[in-house]
Order: sequence, then structure tokens, then C-alpha cells
Amino acid sequence: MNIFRSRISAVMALCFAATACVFQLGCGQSEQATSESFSRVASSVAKNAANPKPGAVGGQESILFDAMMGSAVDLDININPEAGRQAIPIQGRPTDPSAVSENKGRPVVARATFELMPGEELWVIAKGSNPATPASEETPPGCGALMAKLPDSKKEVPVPLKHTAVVGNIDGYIATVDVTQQFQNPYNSKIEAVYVFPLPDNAAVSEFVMTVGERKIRGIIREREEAARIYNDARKQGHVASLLTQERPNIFTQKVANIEPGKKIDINIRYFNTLQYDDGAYEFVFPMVVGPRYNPPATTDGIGAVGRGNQGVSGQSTEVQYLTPGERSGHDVSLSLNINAGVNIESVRSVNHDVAVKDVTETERSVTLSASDSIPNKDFVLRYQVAGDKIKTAMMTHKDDHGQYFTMMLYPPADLKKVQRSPMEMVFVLDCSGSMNGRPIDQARAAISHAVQSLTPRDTFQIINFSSTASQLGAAPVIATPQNIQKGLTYLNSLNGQGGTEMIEGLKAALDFPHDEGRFRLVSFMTDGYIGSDHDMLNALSDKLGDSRIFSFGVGQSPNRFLMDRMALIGRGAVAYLSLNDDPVEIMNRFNERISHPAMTDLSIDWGNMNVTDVYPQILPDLIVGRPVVITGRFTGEPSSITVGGRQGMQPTSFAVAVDAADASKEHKGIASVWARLKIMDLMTQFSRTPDQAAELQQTVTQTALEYSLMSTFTAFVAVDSMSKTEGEFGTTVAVPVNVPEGVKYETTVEN
Amino acid sequence: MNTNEPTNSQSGSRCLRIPLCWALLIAFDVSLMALTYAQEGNTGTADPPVQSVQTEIPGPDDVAADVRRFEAIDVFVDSGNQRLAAWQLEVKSTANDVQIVGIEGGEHPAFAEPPYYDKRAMNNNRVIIAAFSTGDNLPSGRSRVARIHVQVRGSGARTWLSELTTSATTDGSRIPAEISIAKTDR
Repeated sequence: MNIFRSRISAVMALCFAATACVFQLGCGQSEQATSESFSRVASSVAKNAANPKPGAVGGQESILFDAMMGSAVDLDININPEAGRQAIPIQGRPTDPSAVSENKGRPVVARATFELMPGEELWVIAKGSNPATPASEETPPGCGALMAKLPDSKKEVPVPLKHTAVVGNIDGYIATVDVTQQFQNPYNSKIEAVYVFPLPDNAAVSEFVMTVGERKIRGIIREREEAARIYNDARKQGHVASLLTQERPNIFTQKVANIEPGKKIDINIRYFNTLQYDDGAYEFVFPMVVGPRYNPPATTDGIGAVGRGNQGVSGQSTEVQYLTPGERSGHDVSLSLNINAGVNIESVRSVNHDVAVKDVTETERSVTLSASDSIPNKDFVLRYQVAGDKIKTAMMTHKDDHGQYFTMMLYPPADLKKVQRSPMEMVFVLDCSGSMNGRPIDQARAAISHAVQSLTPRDTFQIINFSSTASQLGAAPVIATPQNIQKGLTYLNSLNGQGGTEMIEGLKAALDFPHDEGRFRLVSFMTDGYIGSDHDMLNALSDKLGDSRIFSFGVGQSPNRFLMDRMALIGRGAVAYLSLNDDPVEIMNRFNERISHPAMTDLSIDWGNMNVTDVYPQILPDLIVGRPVVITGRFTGEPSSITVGGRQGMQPTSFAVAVDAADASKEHKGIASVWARLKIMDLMTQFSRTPDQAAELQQTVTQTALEYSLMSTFTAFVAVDSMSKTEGEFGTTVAVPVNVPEGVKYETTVEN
Repeated sequence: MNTNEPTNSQSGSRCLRIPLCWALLIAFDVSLMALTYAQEGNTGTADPPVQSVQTEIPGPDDVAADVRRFEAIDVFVDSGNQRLAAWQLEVKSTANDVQIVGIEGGEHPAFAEPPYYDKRAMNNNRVIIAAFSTGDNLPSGRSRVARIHVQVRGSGARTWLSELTTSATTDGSRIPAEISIAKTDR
């Protein structure tokens, strides 16, 4: 066995990723103090800053000083000597900073003088007990933070995640992405950092490296429970360790244990994924924040959305903590992308972020995220238009020790556009939950409004809205006459976002009524997909779909793309995304173009001389105009041309797919990982639908994930540095709080 | 059956009737090939025999049987006066109560990156790792090429087996080298 082959690219990519990392110094933990005595304190309000729990070490006493005109505030801070060494992070403008005096065994006084302007606030937060012996593992540590709120700025919250560096390389439609999370302890005691973050739902996470100082330790893929046990052992024994688990296909939890004050730990994750191609443009997406999920009552395995410091409030097994609108963290993101499209690139557009684009060659671009747009509160979406007439369906192959793999993007035949569609029964389902309140629902309404007005009297339509319950325009779909359309628009404009996200209610309302046999039923979901019960929703969709087709529209800056993509896949339709920066008319025109022509249905493939197995997706979807389908599988024998057959309306049709000869000599390491990831996703769909086969399916998923070193629901990466042993058992657990996605209202989505 | 056709035995006996000069020529060629093979062995293109080394790694005697502790094992390759550009090795414990929990790179900059492991060969107590360097700055002599972090349950020493399956120079020539492992001093 020889595993040297194909290491050059991997090593080079690692080096590239390493050089791309930007290590940020400074932790907001400057130990400063001041002298001088009080001159004046305008007013003071005592309150708890972090919702301390009784007996919890993280309980903090806070004092807020509001300033009057030209106030100077001098503080004497008594420090509990039993609490160990106290750090006093000072942010703002201390007029007389000096080092904090320390005197072990005796009370210590730190003094600070501040000048505050009207409207400014000075917070003094003191920790109440020994940080090294937390009563609760989930309580934030005392940070002794001393912060001044500046005019026109948000209150900065110290967080243990300083920076995320993303470096992507795209070859054709396969992306290799290195994500480096730079953790740093801004507190004065040891911590465990917990960060719940998103990745693309088709990301095949295959590498994990922890960097401690100058030393890099490659993580090992293990069965999830085993990895967690190893991590917990290491954590309790004081070793620096990290654990990466998957909560949903697009939601992951990173834990890093025993980060000492001021110390940095980097985590590098590498994944492969395929890009979507849509009407002549490829789309690269890097999600930056998990949107606040709604969980149905009585569920505990969802994704909770809670305010910062409110761990456990949601009752869910996984929680994301959110910053209030008045807070910000120092966590930022850098992103660079190298695109090698293989064909000429006509244009590049970043949907949500400012970017700099450099033309390398006609087929290559270098894209860099602007430093001024580095707050991780919206998905990075880059669409690049390629020369359409040169795009052809072609097969890429890869061979390694596991065997041979192929992937191909099947493009619909051009003559599909010549055939007109049959009458439609259009059902628009609008998410009117609290997370859609404001700009997202405005966008969705505008999109539906345009789509409704594009219907003809041959069609019927229905508008359904759901939040905590579902309601609809009428008892049954109505003919799309001008009068009915006007009635529909009036109804649409009356809808607003509030309440829960009982999406299944919307699904039932959309599919639980008799099918009009004379029309083709098409259901369009307009939602951010912020639910914690993704699989329940997908199972319900599978059960109720019938002959309907689902077109899902992910609304907003950071929709639940896993749910949207899977709904469209199961529903044999297509997915589209409607960012707040998109033109809803343009998006819906593209939708109308797709549904204006029949799809190529009943696909079948003659594999020629190739012996093909394990093809994913296992049920071939329809080929819709403007929307190709990626198919991946394994094979033996020599790659050869294949023939794709199907029907256009009632007429049989077929087209040939050639092996990309120019590509044959290239190496596509990612294909094997992408294939294994698709296999796992397919097995997980079966897992959630066939409980009687759960044990067997779990074993197959685990085996596949271990064999290909991939993240899955049942596997996890763990890395332990046995060389570093910190003092004490383990530190306090600190969640990395994040912003709610841009456009989403904290008040209507986050539990406190 | 055509009786004029030679049988197999006839054909075989005919092969034996080779002129003496041809036989000498063949013998010379065989000798030349043997010599070339031997020289290649000296210059490194032949595969050196794979050596398996057994090493006892000491452990504390005063811990309970169910206590799990973490330690690290350094893996060294000694390539003598040759510059080591690539290597592949296998390390495994004979005990089942050992878990590999991380793989770190070596001491020389050429092998500082954590090596890749063979996913399929990875087991709780067994790993195959490999690395190569395309740079000019390469180690010679004895150099730590990797560090394996492990979790061990219970007390006492553990026996480890290590095999260096490949060691090569920048041009891909195999070179003789020795593998050794030792417990890492904290």
C-alpha cells in the first residue's frame, strides 16, 4: 500500500491555508488599572449582566454607570483574593491607565478614571467566586470585563473565537475549502470554547487539524460517542483537546478544551463540495451564521436559539447563543477564493458582501472578501457566469485505493425550451413566522406577487401562510383571473411575520387537498427554513408529496439551505435563494422560465462499458430547464460514453455524455469524498424514514464515514495534545455568541 | 491429430539443443543482471527489507485498571547520511487498550506538518502514516518524523511494533533507514 500519491496537492493546499491564516493579536484582556480617586459618579444601576445561576461561578455582579455631561468616573474595585488572579479588561478611554495592583492573599484595589460623554455607559463586572472550580460546566466564566460603551457603537462582548479564515479553491464545480477557526481566551481563567457554526449541507468534511502554538496535531475520525469520551477524558485531565461533531448536515459544533488565559488554539477544517449551477452561473456559498431555529413544543433534539448567557433556556440538545442588537463580538471573517472554471468566466457577482475580484486568466478569478464587510452575519454567496455555449455535460473521474469514482453534471437538453407547459395548479406557501418579520417577508411577498401576476387563466392558484398555525386564501385553488389575482394580492399584503414556525402545518395545508387531475400541481415554499426539526419536515413531505413538485425558495441572508435543498430534491423540483439583496422579480422570472417548459422526466442511464454501482442520488430527479443535476457514483472498467434517456412530455428522448478527455489526466481527490458524503446523506434519509432499520443503517453510515474519514451524525473528529497539561481539572464552558442573521429580528426569534 | 506436429515433449527437448556460444551468452547476461541488481541495491533503487521493531513503552504501575491517561510516542527515522525526502511507516500497539487520539508532525521543518494517515488502515491502536517533502532542506541522520498521541487505559508498559515500509530520497530512490520509537518526555 502506498499513500504518497496525491499528497503534493494536499500538502501545498495546507501550506497555502496556513499562510492565508491571519493571526490576530490582542485579546481585550489588557491588565490595566488606574489611580486617582473619585471625582463624581453621575448615577449607578446595579444589575446582572450575564444572568447568573445560583451558585454558578459565572455569576457576575455588574454595575452600570450612566454619565452626565463631562463626567469623570473614578472607580475603586475590590478584588476577591480567593478568586485568583483577576484580569480587568478595559475598553473605552481610560484617562489614566496603569497596571492592576496585585497582592496575593489580601483584598486588592484597582482604580480607574474615565471620562464619559452624555449617553455613554460604563459597566463594571466583577466575578463572584473562584473561576477554576465552576459549579456548572455550562456557565460563562467571570471575565472581570470593564467596558465602556462608545457613542454610535455597539457594546463589544469578549468571545473566545477571534477570527475565521476561509480559503477556497474551485476546480470546475468542485470546491476545496479550508476553514481556520482561531480561538483565543479573552478571560482570566481557563475555558472550554463551544462554537455552533454552519457549513454547506453537502460539505464532505474530511480533515481536521488542531494547532497549539507552533505544533499541529491531526485529528482522528472516531465513532461519535467514542470521540466524545476521549475528548471529555482529555478535558477533565487538563489537556488541550478539540472535538468536532455534526448536529445537522449543515450545523456543526466545535469544542476546544482547556484554553488558558490569553492562549490561542487554531482549528483547521477542510471540506469538499460541489457547486450548484443555475442558468449559466455557478454558485459558491459559504454560510457564516446559523439562523435562529424554531422547535416544536415538547421536542428536545432541536437547535435552540437563546440569548447570550442563557444556556439551557431552550431545552434543546444543541443551542446557539445570540448577541443582542446592541452587542457585537470581535469575531470576524476573512475569505479568499481561487476559481478555475475551466471555461471563460463572463462575470462575477457577490450577492451579500463587498469583494475584490482579480482577473487571473480568462478562465480564472481570484476573489477576496472586503475587510470592511467581515461580520459573520450573512452567507457569502458568489455567482459567476460562465460562457454558456461551452458548457456541456461531461464526466470527471477519480481513482484511488478505494476504487474508481465519477461525477457528472447533467444539463437539460436545449430543445426542452421549445415545448410549452401544461396548465398549472400553483400553491404558494409563505412562512409568516417571527423570523420572517420585516425585510424577509417583504421580499417573499414581492416574489409571490410577481409570480401570481404571471399566471394565466389556464392556471389555478392558492396562497397559504403558516406560523404557529396555517391559513389560506380560500377553501380551494382559484382560477387565475384578474379579479382573483387582485384578491390574492390583497390577501398577500395582509400577511405579516409573527409566531412560531409550524412548517408541517403549512405542508399539510399545501398537499392535503384533492389533486386537480387536469393541472400540474406545483408547490412553492417561501421560507427561511428556520426549524430545528428538519427531518420531521422532510419525512412529512415524502409521505404527502404524491404527484406534486416542490420548488423551495430560501429567503433571507442565511436560510437553512439543507432543508431547502432537500425539500426540492425530495419534491423533484428545484431550489432557489432569495437574498435580501436579490431582485425578487428577477428570481421569479427565472422560476417562471423553468416552469414554463416541461422537465425531462423518467431519467435512465445506459452506462456503456462501465460497471456502475452506488449512484447518488439514487432516485434520479427530473431535468428542469436551467437546472442541471449532479450525479456521482463508483465504477469499474474504463470510463466510457454513456447515454441518458427519458421522456419529454410523452415523447422518448436521449442524449450522450462523453468522458472529458482533457480532464482524464487530472486528479480530483474530492470526488471520492463527495461521493461518500452523498451516500451518507442518502442513508440518513433512509435512517429517519425507516426506524426498524436504524441500527443497520447507522452501522453502514459509521463504516462509510470512518473509511472515508468524513464527518457524519455518527462520527466525529477528535484531537488531543497529550503534551500540554494545564493546571486544574477543566475550565468554564463558554459558548461563542453570534449575531442573528442580517434582516432577522432578535426580539421575535431568540429565547431569553 | 497430425503426427508431424511436434509434441510438447519434443518441443522441450529441442529447446535444450542450444549452441554453446548461446548458452555462454545467456549466462553472461544473467550475471550482468545480477550485478546490476546488486548495484541498484547499494544505490537505493531496490526495496530494502522492511524491518519490524518491537519496543516496550513504560507506563506507571500505580494507576487503577480503568484509569485512562494520555501520552505521546515519538517516531524516529534514521536515514544515515542520506537526505530523507519521503517515508511511510506503520505503528501499532499489541494491546487493545490503546487509542490513537492525534498525529503530530516531526521536528525537522520538512516534516513539521502532521502526516496523513491511511483512513482504511486506521484502527484504535494501529496507524499507517506517510509524508514527503519537495523542498531542498531535508533531514539526515536520526530525526523525529512524527509524534503519535495516544490514550492508554490502566497501568504498566505497552508493547509497540513499528515498521518502516518506505524511505526515499527526492528522486524517489529507496534508501535504507531505521525506525525507532520512544515515549515522549513532557
